[in-house]
Amino acid sequence: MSITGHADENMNYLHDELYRFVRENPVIFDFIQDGSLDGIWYWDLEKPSQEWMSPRFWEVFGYNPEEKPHLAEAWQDMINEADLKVALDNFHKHCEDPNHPYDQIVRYRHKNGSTVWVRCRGIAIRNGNGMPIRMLGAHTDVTALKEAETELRKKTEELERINAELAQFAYAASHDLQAPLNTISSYVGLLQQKYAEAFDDEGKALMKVTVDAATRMTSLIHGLLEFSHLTNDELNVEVVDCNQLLDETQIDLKQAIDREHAVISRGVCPVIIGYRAMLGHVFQNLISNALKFRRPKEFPKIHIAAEDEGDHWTFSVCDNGVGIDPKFHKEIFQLFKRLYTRSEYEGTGLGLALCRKVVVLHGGKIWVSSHLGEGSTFYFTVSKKLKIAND
Amino acid sequence: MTEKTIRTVLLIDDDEDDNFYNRIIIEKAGVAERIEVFQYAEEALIYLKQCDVSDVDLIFLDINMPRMNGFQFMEKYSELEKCCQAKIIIVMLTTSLNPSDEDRCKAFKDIGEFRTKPLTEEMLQEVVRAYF
Repeated sequence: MSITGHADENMNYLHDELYRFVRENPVIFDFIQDGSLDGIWYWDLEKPSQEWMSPRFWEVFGYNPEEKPHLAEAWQDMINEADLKVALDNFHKHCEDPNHPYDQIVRYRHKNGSTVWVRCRGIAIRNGNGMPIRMLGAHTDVTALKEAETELRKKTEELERINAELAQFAYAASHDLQAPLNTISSYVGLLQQKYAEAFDDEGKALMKVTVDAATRMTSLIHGLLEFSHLTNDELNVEVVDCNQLLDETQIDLKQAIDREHAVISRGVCPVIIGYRAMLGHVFQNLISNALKFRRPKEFPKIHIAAEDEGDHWTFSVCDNGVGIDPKFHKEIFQLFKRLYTRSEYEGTGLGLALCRKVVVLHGGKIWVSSHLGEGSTFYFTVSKKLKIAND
Repeated sequence: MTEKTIRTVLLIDDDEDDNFYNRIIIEKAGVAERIEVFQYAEEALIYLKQCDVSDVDLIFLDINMPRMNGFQFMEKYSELEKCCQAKIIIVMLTTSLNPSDEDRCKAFKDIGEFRTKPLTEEMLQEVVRAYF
């Protein structure tokens, strides 16, 4: 009899010794199969009703080995029917071609009714003519693994569902908030138009606070809508020429750039694959911040550059502004986190959170390098692994 | 009531408009001699530390503030000398993004009350009746 398998040519004296022991002393063989497997079986293909199963084989399924006959039919009604079909198919293919592996995960029914997942591997033992005459198989109990896998899949599905729900909720909520806000804005506007002259100074001040707050809430809701709508569900990645994108961004920001007398310089930026509009938001936010958080007595100088780092691009936006204390470098990217009061710098606390969301959608990271009073450099990466979908 | 019941009240809130509004309410109620406003919690801490004997009877504290939020303020506050602390602290829960904020407040024994914005004269009178 011969086994078609791997020839053991990589010789070592311990290897030789161990193989000799296995042959000479059944204790060694028992130890190996007990310690590393959850049952073995040995099937007589010339008399297919005859099959020997190791004690461990039965114990895994909750049976007393002594109650079970050494017959192939003994396990037939325990195995999952569909899985048995797969196993038999693999068995036939393996008999025809030794290179086709007999290796599959099959379900057995435990004595207590539960499912036992078993990885079942086997090898045909052939006679001189290459005819398979025996089949040696080994079981590995993978139930714990399978159950964890199922649990994980359930949790993932649940998380995905909750996430989608949350995004939907944020979108709907900010959308619905907008309606009453519009009413407030327009009515206060009317009030101001018709009766402003009737107010004294305190009355005018109160009116101004109201109008400003309504305006601020409008931009906050717009920001929230944008943030919650920012998913890659409806958009496709495209080829984005970052030089062109930055040209456009600078045109959009022209008013602010001129007002602050800012000088913006740029290195050559790459053509990449990404979500164009979203990347535009990132550049716009970072440049706006650089303009906003300028030092009072120094005109803003902003430099934008990109670096090819193999599997990703690293973009940087460097300014000479007020800088950021390192203890806040992480939290500035959280939703609604702000470092200044609104009286000092306007803002919603959404900008950098939005940037982070976009960058994550591009398989990248965003961070800042800065010290208080020494300007800031914001870095973000964009993975090169994004692919354009073929429609 | 000729004598004002509260000597100094601190308003700690980054929102200028809220401070403006709260000041109007407190002034209208006529219960406090002095109102001090801080837009950064850190500055309120410095103010409290400088007092030899605090005449601050009441603090209104916002939670969501830049740099040092209300909870971080409370941690530092509890380390202050007793004589620097105020008689009572009221936490003004902002348009709470996080419902667990109130639970977190309960962990600070120095926090007397949790209330939601906006401050009303009624709320102020309740506090005066309960603590002064």
